[in-house]
Amino acid sequence: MLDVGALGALPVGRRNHVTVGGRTGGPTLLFAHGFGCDQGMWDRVLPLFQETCQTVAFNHVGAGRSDMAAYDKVKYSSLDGYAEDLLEVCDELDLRDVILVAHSVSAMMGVVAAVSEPSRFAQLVLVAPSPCYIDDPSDGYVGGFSREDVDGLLESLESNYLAWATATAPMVMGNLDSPELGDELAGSFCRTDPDAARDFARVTFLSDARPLLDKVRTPSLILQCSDDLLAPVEVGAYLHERLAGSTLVQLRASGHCPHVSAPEETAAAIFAYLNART
Amino acid sequence: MTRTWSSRPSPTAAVAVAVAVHDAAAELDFEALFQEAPCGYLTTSDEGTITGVNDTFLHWTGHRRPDLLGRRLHELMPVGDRILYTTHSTPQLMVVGASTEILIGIIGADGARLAALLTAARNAAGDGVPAVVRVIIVSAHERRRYEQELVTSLRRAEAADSRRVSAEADLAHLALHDPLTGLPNRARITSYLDSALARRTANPASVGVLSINLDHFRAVNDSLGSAAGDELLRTVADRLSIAVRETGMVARVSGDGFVVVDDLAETGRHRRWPSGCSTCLTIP
Repeated sequence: MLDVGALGALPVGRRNHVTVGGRTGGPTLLFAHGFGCDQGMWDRVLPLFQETCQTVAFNHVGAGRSDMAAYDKVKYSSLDGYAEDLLEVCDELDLRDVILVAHSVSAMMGVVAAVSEPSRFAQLVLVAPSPCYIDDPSDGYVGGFSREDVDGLLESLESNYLAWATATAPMVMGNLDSPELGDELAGSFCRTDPDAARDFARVTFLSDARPLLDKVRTPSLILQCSDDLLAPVEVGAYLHERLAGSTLVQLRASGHCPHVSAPEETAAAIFAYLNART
Repeated sequence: MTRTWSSRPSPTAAVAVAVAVHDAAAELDFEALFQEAPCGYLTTSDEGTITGVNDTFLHWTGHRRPDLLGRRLHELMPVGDRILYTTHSTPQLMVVGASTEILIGIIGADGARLAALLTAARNAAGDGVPAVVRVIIVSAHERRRYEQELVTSLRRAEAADSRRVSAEADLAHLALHDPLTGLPNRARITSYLDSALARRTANPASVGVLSINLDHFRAVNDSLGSAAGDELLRTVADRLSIAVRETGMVARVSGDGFVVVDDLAETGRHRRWPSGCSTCLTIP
């Protein structure tokens, strides 16, 4: 396992707080977290992959322990800026045949990255993805939200300005068998710069990546959750229809974060997909 | 009934005492404390399905218990808060076991939005017992107002700060430039010349200084009006700026006086230079 401290000496490694684990020489899985949290979100699935694969996780600038000095309002006002960072993580660590596992809004950053540098990626694993969260009455697209809903979210973020900036102290109650939280999580989980969170919410909920879908040549797995407030089943079907070479898997896991609520089922679906392709 | 109190009873000590006391009266007390506590109590599953709710919450929101049991907690929130709760608080609960002091709205039975402060903690599943999320919800009308005022003030301060920075930049520009032509003024060209000459002592190169006064400028102003005079000055300024390009500087130092400073290190350039500048002015 590469030393995290060594990655901190690399410019992109430090900027995006890149962490590397698992089996050196194994297939490379790159984990990109979604809106609302940081790479700590992957904590429950990473160990399931680390015996056979090399795992690389990072934070988007503004989230968790990323370098806030690198925060650039203009760059991070679109998916492109984040996709650029994702490619820079690959470039700095010289990752090849990357299997990108991307949650929520990061799935579309992955789409942008795969369109701009297809040779970098072997497969895309899109966890609870949506190309556009807002309904489009002009073509009947169902994203699940109206523009007013998104304005409501921005207002909600503003009201919770302090909550985002404050780290929640770990509080594992009841079950003493729970795995101990790693250093990454202790004290910093989900702490996000509130201004960056507001910008990130705009990028997440106001971007429309639909025009890019037919340009993707990388095979992809779409993991659709049950009862996901952010990505209704129509959205998974829409993506499957438009992403050439995509596989759609409906998970039993409900909610928006199957890698948190059902790590075994999520990992099993990813393994089944990868094994079927090799 | 024997009770032992530590000298500073902590909530944990109180719970320990509670467990030790088994009489029915105490159980009724705790049932009443749960039902009538001055905050809403709810329990949910990991998916957010409400499994228990106290009387205070029902009274405060106007909902009936049967309507809430089995519903998702986030369904009681406005959409924006629902997204926040799903993307931020739920993963926090699942991974860290707690999510604290989130300001949300709760939609009452009559559709009114009630400002609330939510704190939740999760007991992980174990030994056949499913995970349970315990939620307390406190009315936070005033707190919401304070927080909104704080954020509004923060935004105002940010806006004022960016206005100040841009005003300072404008002021700095104004102090060193001629407002009519936008060219550097006497103060700016003087310091530029000083530093150009200082550079010359270190690295021998020629610094050329050309003083240009427009002939009969007064006559233009008197016969055609000051607007025409201004137009002439701006034209002269533009043409000199183009002739000098990036290597030097043109300044307006008086009514009809311009100064050009340039680096003439290039061989022979000093011979062509003054005529080049005057030619650019004689084109009609």
